[in-house]
Amino acid sequence: MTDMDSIEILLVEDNPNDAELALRALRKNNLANKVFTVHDGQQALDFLFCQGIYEGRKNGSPKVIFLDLKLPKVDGLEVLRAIRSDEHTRHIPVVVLTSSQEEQDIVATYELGVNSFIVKPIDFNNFMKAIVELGFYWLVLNKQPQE
Amino acid sequence: MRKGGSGFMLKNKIKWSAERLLQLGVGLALLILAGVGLLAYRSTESLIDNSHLVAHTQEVLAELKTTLSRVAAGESSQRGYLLTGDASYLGPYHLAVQEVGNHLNSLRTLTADNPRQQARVVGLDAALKTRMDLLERCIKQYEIGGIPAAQHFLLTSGGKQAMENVTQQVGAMEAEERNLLAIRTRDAESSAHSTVAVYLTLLALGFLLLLALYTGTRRHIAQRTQAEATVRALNNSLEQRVAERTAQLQVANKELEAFSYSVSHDLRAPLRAVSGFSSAVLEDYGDKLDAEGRRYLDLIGKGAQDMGRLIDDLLSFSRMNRLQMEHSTVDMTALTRGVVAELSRANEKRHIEFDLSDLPPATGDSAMLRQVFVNLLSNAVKFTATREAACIKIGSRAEAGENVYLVADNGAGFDMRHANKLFGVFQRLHSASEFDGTGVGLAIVQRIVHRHGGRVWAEGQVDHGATFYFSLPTGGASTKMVEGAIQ
Repeated sequence: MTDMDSIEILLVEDNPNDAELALRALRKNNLANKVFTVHDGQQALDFLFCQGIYEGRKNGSPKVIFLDLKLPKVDGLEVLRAIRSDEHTRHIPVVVLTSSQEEQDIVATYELGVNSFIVKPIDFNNFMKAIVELGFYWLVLNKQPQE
Repeated sequence: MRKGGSGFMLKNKIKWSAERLLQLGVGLALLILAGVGLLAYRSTESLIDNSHLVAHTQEVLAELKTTLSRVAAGESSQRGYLLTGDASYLGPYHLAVQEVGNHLNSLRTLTADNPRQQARVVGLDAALKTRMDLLERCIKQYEIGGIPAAQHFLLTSGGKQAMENVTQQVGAMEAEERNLLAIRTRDAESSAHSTVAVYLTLLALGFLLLLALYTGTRRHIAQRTQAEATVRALNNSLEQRVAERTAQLQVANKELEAFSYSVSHDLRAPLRAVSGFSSAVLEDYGDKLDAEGRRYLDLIGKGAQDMGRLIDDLLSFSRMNRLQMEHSTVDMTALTRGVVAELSRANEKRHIEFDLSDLPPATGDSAMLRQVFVNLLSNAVKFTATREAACIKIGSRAEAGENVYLVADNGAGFDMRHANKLFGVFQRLHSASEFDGTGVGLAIVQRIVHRHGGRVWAEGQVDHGATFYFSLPTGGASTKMVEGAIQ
């Protein structure tokens, strides 16, 4: 069971298959114990702002958020906007993982201050590689301001 | 379209009657003017003639008067001489003697056109001769026998009768002339009256003509205005319909775009599951399977990948049809240089030689034209994979009204017999085992080039490379370009 207070990766993904494959990749690289998965935009917000169903969670932000765009309840873009509007969460790196590479999506997310925009490759190997590389990059390589 | 049809015919009818009326009116006006001119000329002529005649008659009358007074003067001078015996009284008589002949000649000339007058002149001539002769003889008598002789001569010679003859002839001639003058004057008057009548008639005609032209023109203008209004209304309704249609097309376009968007997103997710989990099985349980089982799983994964590429290509193709074309001058040399650089970077491990010449600029959408080169050059790179050293040449040549661009490679080539299939969607001339690809790349190239008003074609030989050509019209032939069309 993941300790909710030491989450380093917040995975926001509504598709169970994609979520499972991502977790599998991270698990293979020993990053799985630091991942928390939520399945819609509202849960993501609740988690980040310690409200709603996650009200009891101690304050502590993940080191990176993998965010899918097409989410039920609250859309990915809305979540991104909320993250960037709050000073507690503004600095958290957000990586959008999505299947769509429509130009309009890319522009919208960069307008809202996304750090990366990754298109989920169909080829599983590439997808795995992408997840792992991202995990390592944001958790290990990339330096962030101390909270 | 009925409305348009009757509008067109109406216009023709208007044209016909207006033109005819105008011709008729102008013709009549010209006739009237000619008539008036002619009349003016003729009446002036007759005025002049008349005045000549009047002058002539006056001349004749004057001549007659002078003749008579000359003779009378001669007579009285002779009398004076007879009374006084003073030769100085004979001045007028001598003058009369001298001049009578001249006067007669004048009269003869003046009345040359009138036979009656001519006859009278003869008579006058005779009468004058008699009279003058008597006067002379009387003087002679006086010179011989003095007053008594002269007196006797006078009483017996019939001098009075002679003079009366003269006076009579002169009177007759005068009467004739006066009569002629009267006749001519009456004629002139009546002709003047008739001229005035004709003038008035012509004026009336002219006035009616003007009236007719006026009403005709007004009616014509009214018809014209109405026709114009009809045309304007038609134009407006047409424009409105075009606007409506355009709005409809735009809505359809947007719907298509939304559809493509969801297709791209929703179709990929299950593919990821297929690919991902088949790989997962391979990885985690591959050792529990035999080689065949592992191969099956591999094929499953590949199938998913292929489908993914298909989806991408289809979406590209559909986007190519929908997008609005930009119109600008495109630097083709810089464009191809960029694409070549990218391909070189992506294929660092291979030995590819790009021979890039300067290309003439083109008018069109630079993003779309870039896609053309990306597809053609990617194909060239792909189909030269079997070559040790791949040679890819990019060039151009100018032809009448267009520039032809070409990409030539020394790769696998193709069988010219199937050349017509090259540019079809999903048409492939090589099996999937030889060369990867979904077969949409060239279809996209053709679509883009056609939208720019150009043509595509290719030449190749199996195992001896292929050259792909496309032409683009020169001189901003925007009329040839086809704007975003829904297929």
